[in-house]
Formats: sequence, C-alpha cells, structure tokens
Amino acid sequence: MSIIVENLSYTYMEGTPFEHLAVDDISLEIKDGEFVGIIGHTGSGKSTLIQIISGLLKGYKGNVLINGVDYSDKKADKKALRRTLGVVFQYPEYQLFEETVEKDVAYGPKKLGFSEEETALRVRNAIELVGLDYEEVKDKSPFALSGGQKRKAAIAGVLSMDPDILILDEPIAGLDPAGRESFMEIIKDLNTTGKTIIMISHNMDNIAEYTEKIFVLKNGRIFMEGSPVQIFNDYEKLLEADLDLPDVVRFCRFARENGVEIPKDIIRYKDLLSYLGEKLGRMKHDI
Amino acid sequence: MISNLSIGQYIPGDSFLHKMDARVKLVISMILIILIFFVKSLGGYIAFAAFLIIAIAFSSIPIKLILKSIKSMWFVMALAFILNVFFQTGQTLIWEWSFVKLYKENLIRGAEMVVRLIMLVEITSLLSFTTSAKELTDAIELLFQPLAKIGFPVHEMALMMSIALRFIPTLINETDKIMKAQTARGAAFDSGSLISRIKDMIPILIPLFINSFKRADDLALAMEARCYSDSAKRTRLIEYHLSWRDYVAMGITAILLVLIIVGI
Amino acid sequence: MSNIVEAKNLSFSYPLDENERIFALKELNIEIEKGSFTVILGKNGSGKSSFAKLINALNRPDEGTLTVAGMDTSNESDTIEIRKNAGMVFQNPDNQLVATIVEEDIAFGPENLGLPREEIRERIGYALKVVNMSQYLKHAPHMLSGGQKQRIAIAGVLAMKPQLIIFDESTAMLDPKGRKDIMNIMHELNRNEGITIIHITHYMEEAVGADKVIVFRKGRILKEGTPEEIFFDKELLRESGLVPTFEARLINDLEDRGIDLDKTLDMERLAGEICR
Repeated sequence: MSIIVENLSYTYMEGTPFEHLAVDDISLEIKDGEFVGIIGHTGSGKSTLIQIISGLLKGYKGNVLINGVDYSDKKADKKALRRTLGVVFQYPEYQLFEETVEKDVAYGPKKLGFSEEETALRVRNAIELVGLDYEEVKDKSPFALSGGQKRKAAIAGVLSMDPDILILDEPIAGLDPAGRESFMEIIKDLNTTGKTIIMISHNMDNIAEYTEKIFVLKNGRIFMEGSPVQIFNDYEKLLEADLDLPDVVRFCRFARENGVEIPKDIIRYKDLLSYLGEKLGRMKHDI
Repeated sequence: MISNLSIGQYIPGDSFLHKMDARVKLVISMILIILIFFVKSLGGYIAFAAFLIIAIAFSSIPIKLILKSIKSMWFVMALAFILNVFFQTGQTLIWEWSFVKLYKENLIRGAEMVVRLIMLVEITSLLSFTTSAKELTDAIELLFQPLAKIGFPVHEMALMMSIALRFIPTLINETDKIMKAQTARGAAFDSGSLISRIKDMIPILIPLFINSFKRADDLALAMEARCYSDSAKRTRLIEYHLSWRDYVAMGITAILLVLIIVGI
Repeated sequence: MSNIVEAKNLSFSYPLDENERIFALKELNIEIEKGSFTVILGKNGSGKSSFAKLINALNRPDEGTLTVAGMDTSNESDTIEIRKNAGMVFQNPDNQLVATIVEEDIAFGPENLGLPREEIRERIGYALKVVNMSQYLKHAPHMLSGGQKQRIAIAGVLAMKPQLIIFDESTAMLDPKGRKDIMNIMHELNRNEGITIIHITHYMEEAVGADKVIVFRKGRILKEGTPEEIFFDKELLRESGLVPTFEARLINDLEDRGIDLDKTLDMERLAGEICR
C-alpha cells in the first residue's frame, strides 16, 4: 500500500496566454501508514499535486500509482479509488448539502454501493470518530451546526468511506486555536490506527508538531524532502522557499545564539517544554 | 484554472472604438443589429461589410479574435443554413436527390442568413471587446435614466448587472471546487445514465446556492458599510461625454442607415 | 485624549425565532481612545462581531448607548456620517468587492458620498498608495490573491477617509503571508495615518503590539488590559478558551513547573532570558 508518483507534470490552460506550469516533473513515494506534510508558498503546486494524486485533475504527464494501480487508466475501477483515498478540501463545510447530518455523511458510502446496514454503521462510526455526538446531530440540518461542528460533519462525510489514505488540504484553516488542536488530535489518532495521512498546511507549527515526513515544494518542483527535524534545521534553504520556521525552531535558534545548548531534534512544543523544564529546574536546584 | 478567464471579453486598449462613449457604442450596435434584417441587396451587404471592416480597423482588436468568436457560432450558422435551404420549398429547382430538393432561392436565403449571423456576432463581439463591463452597465443606466422618473429602478438594475459580472468568476471557481469535493466523495459527473448525472448535480447546486445567499448577505452589509443607500445622491468615477469620435461614428452610421433604407 | 468609541450599558440581542431573542452583548461599557490600536479577542459567538456591526451602525443597540466619533448610533439620521467616519473591513475578501476593476471598486464609497470626480481620483491614488497596490489600479480583483484582495478592500475604506477602521476577522481567511501583510498595514495606518484601529480576531498573536486588548466571552467583557496583562493571566486563558502565543505559553507552562521567567512577548528576549 503506497503512493508512487513518477515524473509528474501539469500545465494549466495550455496553449493560452494564461498557460502556467503548476507541477514540474515531480517524483515521490509515500509509504503506507506515513503522516506526510506537503508545504510550500502559495502557488508552489501543492494543491495541484494532491488533486492529481486524488484523480481529480486529468491531462497530466507522468504516472500516479495508488497501491500499484494507475487510476487514470480507463479500465480502472474509479469506485475502488474513492474507497482507497479520501480528500478533505479547504473549508470542507462548503460541500454539505443534505437535509440531515446523517444523510450527508451517508452520501459517500451510498455512492460507492455499500449496503444500507453497512452504510448506517459507517455513518455512525464516522460521526463518532470526529468527536460529534451521533444521537444529537444525526437528525439536525448540517447548516444548523456551529462552524467547528460543520467542519467535523464534513470530514465525517469523507471518513465514512473509510479510506486507507486521507488527504487534507489546509484542514485547520479558519478554525480557532482551541478547535485546531482538538481537530489535529483526531487526525493523529486516525494515523495511529494505520491510515496514511497527507496534509497540506501553511501552519509550520502544525506541520512540525504532527508529521513524520515533509516534502517542500517550490515552483512546482520538490525543493526539499526529509524528516521534520532535517527540514526545519535547514533554515537557509527553507527561507529560499519563502517559508517560515515553526515557533519552537525559531526560539531554539535564538537560544543557541545566546549560548544555550538545545538538541537539534527538538522541534515540537512538548519536547521543548520538558527539555527546558528539566534543564532550568536542575539549574535552579544547583543554585 | 477556469477562474483565470477574463470577464466578458473586454480587451483594454486605446483605440478609436475604445475611446468612444459607451452609450453611443451601445445605441449604434442596437441600430446595426436591427438594420441587418433590412438589408435586401448585394450593394447593401457590401456597404454593411465595409462599415464593419472599418470599425474593426479602428478597434485595434486582432482580426484573429474576431474570427474566433465567429467560429464559436458555427453550429448556429450551420443550423440556420440547413433550415433555410432544405426545409422550405422554392421555385427554381437546381438539384434533386430522392426527397432532398435544392432550390436556388433557398440557397440564397441560407447564405444571406449566414452572412447576417456573422455580422451580428461581429457587432456584438466588437462591442464587448472594446467596452468594459462597468462602461456597459453605466451606459445602460444612463440611457434608461428617463425611466427613473416614472419610478423604474434604473440604478438598481445597473448595479445588479455589474455585481453579477463581478461574481461570475468567483462562482465558476467555487463550482469547480465543490465539484471536485463531491467527486472525491463518489459523485460521477462524467459517467452513468442521464438521470444519475442530473441527480449528481444536486450536491453541487445546493452548496452553491447556500454559499451564494451567504455571499449576497455579506455583500449587502459591506455595501452598506461603505455608505451605499438608495436615497443618496451618487457621483460617478467615469465621466461620460460625447467627443468628436462619437459624432463621426454617428455620422457614418446615419449614412449607412440611409443607404440601406433607400435600398441600394 | 478623547474617546472615539464609547459604549455605556450597551446591550444587543437578535431574534432566535418569533418568541425568543438571544443576547449577543449584555451591559457593555467600553471606551476606545482616538488614535489607539485595540484588539478584541474572543471565540466564535462571544459577541465580538455584533459589537463591530454596532459601531458601524449596521446594527442598533437594544439598550444603552454607543457613541462613535461623537455621534449616537441610535440616531438614524447620522448613519451615513457614522459609516463615513468608521470604516469596516470584513472577513471574506471575495464578498466585499463590488466592481470588476480595482479602481472602480475603491471608487464605490466616495461615489456613494457624492464626492466630485477629481476628488475621487485623488483618493483612489492615495488609498492604493497606502496599501502598496498602486500598480493594480486597472486589475480585475478576482485575479488577485486573498491578501491582495483584502488590501483592495482596505483601500476602498480608506478612500472614505475614516477616522476609525474596524477589522472584523479580516485576517481569518488569509495565508500566513497575507495575514502578516494585513497586520503590517493595520499598524502602518495607525502609526502613519493616525487612524484608530479596532481589530477583531481569535488569533492572540495578532494582539501583540496593541495598545489595549479586550477579551469578550458570551457577550460580556472578561478582561481588558495590555497584551501582557492578558497573555499571562492563566486563569483568564482557561476560562476564555484562548490559546496564547508561543512565548506566553512557554512562560506560563514553565511557571507551572516552578520556573519563573521575565514575562515578555518578545521571542528574542525570552531566548536571552533562559540562559541567565
């Protein structure tokens, strides 16, 4: 189970004055169960890349294999692709349309041809998975929910298809900070149960906190690739891609300039807190 | 990206036609469109065509673009031709094969129809190439101003038109996004029976409607916050006044009008 | 210094259905100084957006009074004058631009005010220069990025020459670069043009550098103070559900572990602090 992308290129509006090469010869591999982050400046080609991987954009050059299958092949089973790979777009609440949350979440499984019982079970699971109370929301109109709840309901509509791979485009955009954290914990749990997660985010703290592998895109190409520790310790290159550092990393840099030793592998808030807590606690004790 | 499409077809420029008053352009276009159907002789067509060629020459619009807009209407033209040629009876039979009969009069009528359509497309595309959406809506508002005296909401109509134009690209973009999201949830717009395809439109149309209402609400608030009110006396950024160009254009149009009506 | 906004016992509610009304704001007392930079923090539903709309006379108080630039917002005849003086920038950049060309959009406000043509031209030039978008005069707004669209929206408000601008979550839908741009412009407007800024947001990091921070919760004021007074009030943070900036969070969390550091919102200073 994996995603393999080979020599992928995509041009928008080919043959017009607006022609624009959005993806330029990208090759990458994402292994089963990985939590991958894709980062890059606006217009770097991230969204185009995931749309192609998800089979939503045609007319590209190169190959995309999902678990060894090329779904651009006319004979390929499109429903199998939808069962394997789920996509949560930016502001997913804008895709809600049914009368009730239950019906909306059931849309995907029904389309994929699951039985009534199987669909009902999946709907219940998905709604609970995103942290909503099934009994409370199932008969409510999705439009009557609060902003954060709408987002969760929309994501349940993707999770109900129980995909092995979940692609998220800016999933926390527009959520308030408290909402972000609870939301990301849900995604992290999904990853723990074995799902492959691919997340696009502008929020570097978020990327550093949760992913285990990062692709940095610039002008439609892969500019950097590696673990978060490798990527975020290579500041100069990251700045070249017009990206910021996570707060934790920025802080560690300042601290090192001041002669404080902080291990390079600290890029997450909790690690920094426990490291500093111990170090400063000991110093206090010594005095 | 569909969102990159330009609104209407306006191509900014500095030509004679660009500098003309939008009201004059609009009125002349209307007159020409009506006039096309009064052309009866070959001389009339030649005069008309000459007029249009001069207009193109003074528009700085590449001829390629004009041809392209004519080409986009080929189906309508072919249909008009076929309807005129094969589905009417005439007098002078020139060719016959089984039930297909070809009459000379019909052939001419069909050709005439095609020529008229070409001219029609040319007039409207010249207008939209050289006149911005704002100019057009302003022109309509100013031309219909007399109706405001009898209580017709002229200004509101014009504002609605310009806002509609402003939001077309936004809505196209949004449709594209929602379509992709629903495709990812298993909707299939490019396969299946007609009925299932129509059914699959619902998950697109409903979010689109709901979002549009939200947009309309937001926009109304934003406009109010910027001091919009129906009673206020507004001024206008772009000033409209007739220049020598407009008089020249009106003069030439008048000559064409007379020529066609006397029936050269 | 005089106050540009003054709320006294201000209450506002909106109808839930025919019988019930929901209180959005309850007995609020607020004073905002002319020329100051105020940030209003609160979660969704805290009443912060209702307050913004009241200042712009898009809503009217149920009880109490709200005075903006010396005018009572309950007084309908002053509405246009109030809106002219207190401009407002909204959340969604797409939903507040009315025209198909940038300059025409910016002209919308001045046109509504009935200003002469030369004056409108002049103001368009000024407004675009302030938001650093002069080269986009003839562009179509839908071809611009979110942050650029928001700058055009700001220019549209600036063209009315307001004394006060309210930003109602105007950064929420932008990417980090767009957000930074808009925050910088807000501070520039405050510093260079002398415009009073009221910025409504749920991102605490955007409150750094403000003169005053007001925290809303369920239609009431939870606390009012300098950014430092708010960011290091752990009790308040818990109660309001706000997440402070990295610096404040680290200082607060280390304090819980018995380590006291100087309370600063500046990362460089904080980094220097820990090596002592």
